[in-house]
Amino acid sequence: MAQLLVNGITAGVGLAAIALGFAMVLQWRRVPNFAHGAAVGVGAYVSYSLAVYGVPYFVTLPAAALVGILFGLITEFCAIRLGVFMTHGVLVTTLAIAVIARAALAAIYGENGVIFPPKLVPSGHLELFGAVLPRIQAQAFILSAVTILLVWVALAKTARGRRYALLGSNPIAAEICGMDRTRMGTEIVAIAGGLAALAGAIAAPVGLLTPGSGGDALVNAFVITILAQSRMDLPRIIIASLVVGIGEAFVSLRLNADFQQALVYAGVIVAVLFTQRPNYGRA
Amino acid sequence: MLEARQLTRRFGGLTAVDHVDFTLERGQILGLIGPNGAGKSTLVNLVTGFDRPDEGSVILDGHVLHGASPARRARLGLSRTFQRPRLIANVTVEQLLTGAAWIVGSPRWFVQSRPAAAAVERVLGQLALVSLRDAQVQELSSPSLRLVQIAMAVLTGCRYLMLDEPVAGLSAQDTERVGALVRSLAASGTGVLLIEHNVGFVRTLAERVLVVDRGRSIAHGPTADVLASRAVVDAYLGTETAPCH
Amino acid sequence: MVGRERLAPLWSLGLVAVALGAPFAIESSYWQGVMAAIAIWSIAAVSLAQAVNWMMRLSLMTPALMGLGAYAAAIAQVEHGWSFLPAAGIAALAAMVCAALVGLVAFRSSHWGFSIITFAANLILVNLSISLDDITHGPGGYAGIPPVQLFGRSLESGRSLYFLALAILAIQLCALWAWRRSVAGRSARIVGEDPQLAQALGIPCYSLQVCVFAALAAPVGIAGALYGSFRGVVSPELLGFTRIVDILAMVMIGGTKLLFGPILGAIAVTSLPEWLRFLGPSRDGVFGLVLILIVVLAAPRWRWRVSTLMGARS
Repeated sequence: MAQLLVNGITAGVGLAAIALGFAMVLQWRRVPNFAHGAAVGVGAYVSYSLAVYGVPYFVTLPAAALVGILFGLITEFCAIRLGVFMTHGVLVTTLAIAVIARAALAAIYGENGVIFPPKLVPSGHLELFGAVLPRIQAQAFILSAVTILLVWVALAKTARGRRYALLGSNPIAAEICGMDRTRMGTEIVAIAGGLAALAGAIAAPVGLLTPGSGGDALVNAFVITILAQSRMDLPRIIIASLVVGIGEAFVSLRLNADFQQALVYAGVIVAVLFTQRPNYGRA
Repeated sequence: MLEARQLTRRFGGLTAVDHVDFTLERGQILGLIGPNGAGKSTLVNLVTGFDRPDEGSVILDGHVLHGASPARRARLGLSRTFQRPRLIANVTVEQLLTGAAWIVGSPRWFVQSRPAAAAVERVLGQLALVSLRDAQVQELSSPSLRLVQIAMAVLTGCRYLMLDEPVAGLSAQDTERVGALVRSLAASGTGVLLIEHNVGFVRTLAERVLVVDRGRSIAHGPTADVLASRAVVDAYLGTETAPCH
Repeated sequence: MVGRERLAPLWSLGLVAVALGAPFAIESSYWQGVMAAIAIWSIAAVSLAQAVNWMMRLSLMTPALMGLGAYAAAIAQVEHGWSFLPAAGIAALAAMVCAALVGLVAFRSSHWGFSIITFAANLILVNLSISLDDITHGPGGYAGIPPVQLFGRSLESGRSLYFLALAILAIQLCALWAWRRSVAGRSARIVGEDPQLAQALGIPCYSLQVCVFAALAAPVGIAGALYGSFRGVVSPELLGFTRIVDILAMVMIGGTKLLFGPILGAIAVTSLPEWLRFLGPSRDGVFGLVLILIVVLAAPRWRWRVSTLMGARS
C-alpha cells in the first residue's frame, strides 16, 4: 500500500509538470498543442546528449528549457498560426510537428531506447514508510515539485501570469484592455515549450528514453488536462495528475502486466466519462 | 394538460425563475410576457428539458417529467422553437423539413411516409414558404429562417408547443400568417405557449397570459384582466400603453 | 453552382474510367498491389469521413475496427475453414458490435471526450491484440490467411483484389449516397449540426448516433478482412498509432464534404511513401511536412495566412 502511494505520488508529480504546459496552451491560447509531447521528448534528449558529453546534470536542465522555448516558438510560427483556419487544423499541424520531431529523434538517436549515463544519476534506494524509492525517482520528484511551485508562484503572483489567465477566460476583455493577444499567445506557447522540455529533462534519467516517449507524454498530458476539465487551475491539475499516477502505479503493481496498458486506458475511459458532459442542450 | 409547478432555477446567487406555476390546456393559447431578463427563456428551457429545475416539476398529461431529455419530451408531444434561429448548412428548406418530420406519420427510415409528406406540404403553404422550398437554408433571410423554424416545430405534430418570440423582426404580413397558423394549431388541439414582446400580438391571440418579472410570476389569468392590472402595468407596460378603464 | 452540377456526372464518369482502367495501364504487379491497398484504405477512410461529417465527432478508432475485422476474418478462415464472404460478414459484425459498445460509452461524453474514448479504445485493442496471443498469435501477427476464393476463382494478384475492393467501395458509396437523401440521413445530419434543434424535434440523438456509428463500422471491418487476405497476415501494427495518423491524414486531405474525397486522401497517403522510398527513414518527417502543407493549402484565404504570420489578429 505504501509502495503504491510512493510510486503513484512520485509519478503523479512528474506527470503534473509535464501536463502543465499542455493545459496552459489549451486554456489560455485555446488550441490543442499536440507537439507538446515532442517538446518533452526533445528536452529529454537534449539533456541526455549534454550529459553524455560530460555536462553536469543540473546544467543540462536550463539548457533543455532553452531548447524547449525555441521549440515552442517553432511550433507557434510553423504550426499553430497556420492551423487556426481549419477545424481541427491546429491539432493536425501540431501533430505533424510531433511526427517530424519524432522522426528526427529516431534518425539521430536510433529507434532503440537510450539510458542516461549511470555516473550522472544518483544510485541506490531510499526507504520510505516501508516502501522502496530509487534515489533517481526521488530526485525527479523533488525537481518536479520545485518546478511546479515556481510556476505557481510565477503565474499567480506576477502581473503577467494574471494577464495570461485573463486572456484564457475572456479574450475579448483582454483585447479591450489593450493586451496584444497574438504576442501573448506566442509567449504562452514558448513558455509551455520550455516547461515541457524541462519536465522532459527531469524525467530523462528515469528509465528508458525512446523516440516514442514524447508520444506517451502527450497522451498523459492530454488525459490529465481533460480530467482537470481543461481548466488551468493548478490544484485541479495536480489532483488529476496524482489520480493518473496512482492509477498507473496500481495497474503495474497489482495487476497482470500483459493487460496493463489496456487497463490504464479503460481507466481513462471511465475517468473521462465522469468529467465530460455531452452537449445535447441539457444542464 | 401541461402543468408547471413551482419551477425554480438558480444560477449562483441569481434566481432566474422563482417558484413559477402555470397550466396550459390542449387547444389553448397562453401568452408569456415580461421585461427582458425576466426569465422567460429560462422557464421554457425548464419546461422543455433543456435545463433542469432546482425545484418544482413539470407534468405533461398526468406524466411527471423528471429528468426526461428534450427529445423524449418532444416525442411525448412537447416541442419548442428557439429565440435565435438555428442554421443547418447545405440543405434546402424542403430537405430540412423532411428531416424534421421525424415524428409525423410514425418515422420511416428511408422513404418519407405519405402523412409526413402531406404535413410538409401543408405547413409550407400555411407559412407561404412554397416558393422557398428549394432554397438553401444558409441563403435565407432572417425572417424566412424564423418561419422555417416555426414550420419545423409544427411538423413535430406536438400537442404542446412553446414558441419563443416567433414574430420578432417579421413584417406585418408574416406576423399575420404566424398568427393565423397559431390559431389553426390551437383549433386543431395544440396548446400553444407564446413568448412575445409584441403585446398587441399576444393580446389578439392569447386567451390567458402569464406575466413574469425578475423570475417571479406577477400575474396569471385571462388576457384582458392581466393586461389591465396595476402590477403588470407598473412592471412592464408603462402608463402610456395602459388601456383606459 | 449550376456549372459544377452539370460537370459532376462528367467528373464521376471520368473517375470511374480511371479507376477501372488504371490496373490495365500500369503493368507492374507491385504498383497494382499498391492500388489494391489504396482501394482497401479508401473504404475505411470514406467511412471515417462520413462519421466526422455527420456526427461532428472525430473517431480515432478506425484502425482498431479494421484490425478487429481482419483478425475475425483471419480466425474464421484459418481455423474454421470459412470462405471469404462469410468471413467478411463476421468481420463486419465484429466491427459493428465493437463500435456499438464503444459508442454507447463515448456518445455520453463531449466531443473531446469522444475522441479520447475512441483513442483509448483503439489503444486497448492494440494491447489486447498483442497480449491475447492464444487467439491472435501475438505481436508476430496472424499468418497463413488464404487468398480470396470467389465464384470458384482464386484472387491472388494485386489486380484482382483491387477490383474486389473497388466493387465493395462502389457499393459503400452508393449506400452512403442513398442514406444522405433518406429521412433518417437528414435527421442524422441535424443531430450532428445542431443537437439542440434535433432534441427539440424529438430526434433520438443518442440512439441515432450510436446506430450510425455502428453501421459505419461495418465497411471498416470488411476493409480489414480484405487487408488480411491481401497481405496474408494480420499483425497488431495494423491497429497502431501510425495508422491512426495515416487515416486521419487521408480524411483531412480528401475533406469530408465530398463522398469520394477520402479516396483522394488514400491515394496520396498510400502512394507517398512509395515515391519517397528513396528518402529512406525520413519518410515520417516528410509526411509531417506534407500534413502542414495540406492544412496551409486548405486555408480559405491566402491573405489571412500571410497576415497571421506577421502577427496580426489570429
